[in-house]
Amino acid sequence: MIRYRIALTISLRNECKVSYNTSMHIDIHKLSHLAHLSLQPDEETHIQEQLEDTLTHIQMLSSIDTTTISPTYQVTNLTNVTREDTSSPSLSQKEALRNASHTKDGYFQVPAIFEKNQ
Amino acid sequence: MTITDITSDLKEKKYSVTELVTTYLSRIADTQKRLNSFITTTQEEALSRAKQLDSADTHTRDLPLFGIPIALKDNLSTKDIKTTAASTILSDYIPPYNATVVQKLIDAGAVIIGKTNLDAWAHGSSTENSDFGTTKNPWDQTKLPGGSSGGSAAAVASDQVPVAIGTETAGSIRQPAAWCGIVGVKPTYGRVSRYGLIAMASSLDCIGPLAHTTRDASLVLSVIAGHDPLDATSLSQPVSEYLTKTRLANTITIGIPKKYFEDIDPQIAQKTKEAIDILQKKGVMIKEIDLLDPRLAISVYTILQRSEVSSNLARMDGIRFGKDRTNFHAEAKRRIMLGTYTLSSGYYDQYYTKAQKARTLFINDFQKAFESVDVILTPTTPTPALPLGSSQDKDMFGEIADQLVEPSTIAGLPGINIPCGFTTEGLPIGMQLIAPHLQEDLLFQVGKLYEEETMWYTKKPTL
Repeated sequence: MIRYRIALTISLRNECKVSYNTSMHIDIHKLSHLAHLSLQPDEETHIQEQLEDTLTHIQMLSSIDTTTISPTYQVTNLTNVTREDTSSPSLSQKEALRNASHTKDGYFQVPAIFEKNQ
Repeated sequence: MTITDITSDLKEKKYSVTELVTTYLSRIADTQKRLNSFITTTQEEALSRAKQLDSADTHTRDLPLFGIPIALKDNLSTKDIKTTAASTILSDYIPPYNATVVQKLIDAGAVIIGKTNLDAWAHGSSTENSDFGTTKNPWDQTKLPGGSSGGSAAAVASDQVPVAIGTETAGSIRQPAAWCGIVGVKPTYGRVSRYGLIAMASSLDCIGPLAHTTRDASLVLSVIAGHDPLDATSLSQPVSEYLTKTRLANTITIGIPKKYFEDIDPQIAQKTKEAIDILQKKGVMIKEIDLLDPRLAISVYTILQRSEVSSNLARMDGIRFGKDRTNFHAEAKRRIMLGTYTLSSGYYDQYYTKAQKARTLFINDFQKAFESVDVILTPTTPTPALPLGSSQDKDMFGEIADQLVEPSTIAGLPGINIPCGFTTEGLPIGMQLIAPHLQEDLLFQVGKLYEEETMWYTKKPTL
């Protein structure tokens, strides 16, 4: 079964005539900072390799000519879906706070953003 | 047993709802250790609900899913029942509300019997990414059940429940249905409300049934489909009465795209061709058509999905619910990282916009095909169920395993997996039917036409 997948990947690469270079490089520190994920050093190396591999794979996209094509962001054909601006039954404060790790005086408690002297 | 059988038995009072639920709960207890299809079973709640239904009035007894035990994929919010999305982050999360789908099932008389396993956050096509252990394929426990709705598929295939709900972003219903030998429906995008579903890729996510027969699947879809003011992308068109008015077989043309038969397991190609012959004998017309190479959809789908995953999982901050982001495991991290990259400044147009443009090409391609055919038939998967461990550390495993369903997914079209036989090793094979927007009825009709002739659903795995 594995051999079909390999054959498939090879034939696709040939068909798309994509040049596979090794210049694909990701700044893993910047990316993990943007994604708000803290990675261990060995994880960084591993994920970086995998991401570069995935990026190489999805370069196949460049073989599709889309110069005159408009993007489709959603497929429902719905536009400007709004509702009446009226209130309706909702969760109680107790229910809304039920899963929070830290609460104080009936509110979510979050880590401080500003220092006291600012 | 099918829903149709159970409903008729309950009407004839052959057994009570309590007896029925007890039987299914003991089947789960007997087989759960071998399959690991459930994350949570709701024994107490289910028995109490069954008792309540046993003393219900005649109006309640006429509900479409009266007394039917049902399993829900564990990414659907259930009020007061733990909902984990198979991730450590949500291992203690107890939603304060029901997803619209869940509420509709309860209102239709169903009995929730448990929450099924999945790849964490629905990221994968194997259930090997679950933080709660892998689900095993009931036909061969050394094989994967597929995913991400692998728990739901294995539960139905092993008769732990007559029906289950799954979710699909691309393949997560159809692929495990194919690998486990059952019917799985991915409805038109927007046909079923996503309110209360833990989102993966919002422009693609769909909720649908996994069942033994097309009739059972159509019945459940008719219950859960419909407009919901709580989901702005849900469609307001009325829900068809599936399988009530059927077209004559000789008025239906099925399109066969040859590109979907290239580089796939020969046994799957063979069984799908045999299914086409059977349908032809039943009177439908068969027409070869050209569609874009499905493998081109892999890149498009990967970019759209990773981008939307990174955005959706940004809300997992450990403040309002769940644990903090250090609890994400490898697959989620990979996906968030790639999605962050493809959405980041300087790369957005190159990846995300480009993929959305390519998406238009797939939509146009299907539209053109549906000018000359009513339904499209292809194999569902390139291979039958793969051995346990196959997905490990392969960052594109799911995208490649699901390549035959990705084009219809990115076009928002409805699709169904119909079992169409077994490999020489005894593993199930599935074919898929794809219809134009909101024409699920055609999927059920053609599926039923084939199913009546072959009745693969009568063959059961030995556990």
